[in-house]
Amino acid sequence: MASLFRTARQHLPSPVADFLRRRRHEVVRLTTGVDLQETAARTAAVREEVLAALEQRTLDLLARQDAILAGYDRRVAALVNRVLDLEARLAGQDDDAPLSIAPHVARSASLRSQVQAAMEPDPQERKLLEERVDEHAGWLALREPVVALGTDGLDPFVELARRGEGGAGAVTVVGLVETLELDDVDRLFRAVHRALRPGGVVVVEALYPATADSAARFWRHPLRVRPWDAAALEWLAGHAGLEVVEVRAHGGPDADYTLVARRP
Amino acid sequence: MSPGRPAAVSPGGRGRLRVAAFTPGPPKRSGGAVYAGALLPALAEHVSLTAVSPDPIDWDGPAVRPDDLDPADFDVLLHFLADNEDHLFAYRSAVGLGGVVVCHDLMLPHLLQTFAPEEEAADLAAHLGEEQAQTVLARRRRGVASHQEVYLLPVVNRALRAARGAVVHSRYAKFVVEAELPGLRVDHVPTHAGAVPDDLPADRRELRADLGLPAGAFLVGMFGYLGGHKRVRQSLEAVAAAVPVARRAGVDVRPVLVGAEVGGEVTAALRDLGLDAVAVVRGAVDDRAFFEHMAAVDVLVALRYPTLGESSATIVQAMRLGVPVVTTDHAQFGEERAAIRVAPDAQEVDRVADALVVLATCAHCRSRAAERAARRGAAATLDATVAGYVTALEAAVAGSPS
Repeated sequence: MASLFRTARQHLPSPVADFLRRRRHEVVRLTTGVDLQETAARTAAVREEVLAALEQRTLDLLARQDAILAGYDRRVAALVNRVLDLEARLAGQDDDAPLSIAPHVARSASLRSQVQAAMEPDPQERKLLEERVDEHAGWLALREPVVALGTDGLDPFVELARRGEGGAGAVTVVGLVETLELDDVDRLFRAVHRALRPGGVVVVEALYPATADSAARFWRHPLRVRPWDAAALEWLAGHAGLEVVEVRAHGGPDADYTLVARRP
Repeated sequence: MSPGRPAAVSPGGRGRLRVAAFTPGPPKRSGGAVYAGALLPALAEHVSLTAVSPDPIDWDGPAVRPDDLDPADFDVLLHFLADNEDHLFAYRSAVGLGGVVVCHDLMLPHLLQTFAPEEEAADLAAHLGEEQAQTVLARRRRGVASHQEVYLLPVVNRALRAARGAVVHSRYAKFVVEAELPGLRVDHVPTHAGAVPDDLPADRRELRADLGLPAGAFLVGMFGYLGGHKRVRQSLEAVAAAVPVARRAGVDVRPVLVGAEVGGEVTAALRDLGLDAVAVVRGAVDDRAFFEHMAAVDVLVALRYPTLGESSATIVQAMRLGVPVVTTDHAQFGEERAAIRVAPDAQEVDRVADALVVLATCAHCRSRAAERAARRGAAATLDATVAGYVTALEAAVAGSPS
């Protein structure tokens, strides 16, 4: 059809050629029944659909390519890390097991700290502990820095870990061991050992009630889980690599004591 | 001068090693600039150090502009590279002058594609050959390339190829560089936590009160430039999943976001997940406030996938503050054994949510995680980092292999 019009324009007088050019679509429709404008519109629409479909297909292929590459990327990276872990282990550089936390539902920390904040310490017990802490000065002299651990809300393990290896000259532990079960007492002594520099000391004030009155005062504290016998604490300190220097009984009706140990 | 290690000596016994360090620094706020701000004064105790930067650097030692530098005045040039506009001059100087290259990031796609496409083309050609490089570039020009490709097609840049030595911050990065460039000496110098102030309040309750953060809530922190491959949406989906579970145990979980938002991802995710009413969004803050907020949160979530071979100073800084970290078990982030690591797979969000619930509801678990983190952070000292740099510089001057 296009060539027919080009031929017509070449051979017909200009006004006729102009008329044909302007009315091309109408002439074609009249002569053939084909609506060129509608055909052009449909062609354009189909072209848009094809382009959109092609673009979407390209994006899908790219996404698949990325997913495949990402899969290889992760597998290769995991393999490399396994090899590097093995090399570290063979070279004796692999001290720490990876951290894992098992799902465990216990008392919430917020409840723990709220209860602790709400309960006033027993005044008699507090006075007793303060007097005993005053006597620690002899052990702590010239052993800066001193890390004081208690139940005042600061996590003792984080406090010790912040000091790094050998970063503390002395550690005092007052009113704390009674709030810890066996695993955590063991962990505490090992953390103390790590934090102390060689020759540094740890001074532990421990309560061991032996009368009805002192037992009632002891168990009023909401976070206490058990009193610790001196022999058990001495053993645990030794197990953590600390050398027990002295276990001093405080006398009186109860079996409270101070345990002093040093990092050799 | 730090005790224990004598100053590095210039060849021929001419006194201390003369080092020119091409790096941005404070007052710029990018990770590389903050890193340099802590490193340069410490390194200057062991070597004769001159900082090189087109912009003024806030430090007490000598500084010159790159155009005013005469390389012959120095024993070794040290170029700090990162995928950030501030490091473009360092990249160009590394390519042109050689020396020791510090790879804060192993790949530099955003820097080069945006600010120096001709450099990127040259890197591709050096890595793939001219023909393949042109094919890759043509595909990108036609829009037939995904954004992920820049992460998944690692390209060793010309700065590394021209280097006498390289410093990387993870054993994974060391492996990658050594695999691509077998003859190059690569030193693994871990990231330091030297930028963390020593005088932050130890009592978290007091800190939260000062910062206006909810006192009794379990705060999940996300820090730094928030967007892109930091998986902001996935992190917030995990928080959203953890909130109702923790609430049943009486714990109020809230996200705290500190840092500049990239691409509007934070706002969109908070709105879509219904967290906008409970989230604390602080935006970009100064360095002191950044670390105060970090010390005040209960856990840091720092997911990354894919990666450019970078290490995260934010992770080490949080650990120094005794804050447990949840990160991605992939590549160099998988090396952080003191962190809770989660694989970037289909269960990622569920696993991160589980970890958050456990930390929020189990004091024993949280204490253990914090203790491990604090121990790891305590080991990330500036002294250890400086010692690593001095070793790398001395080896580069001596020309010795690793």
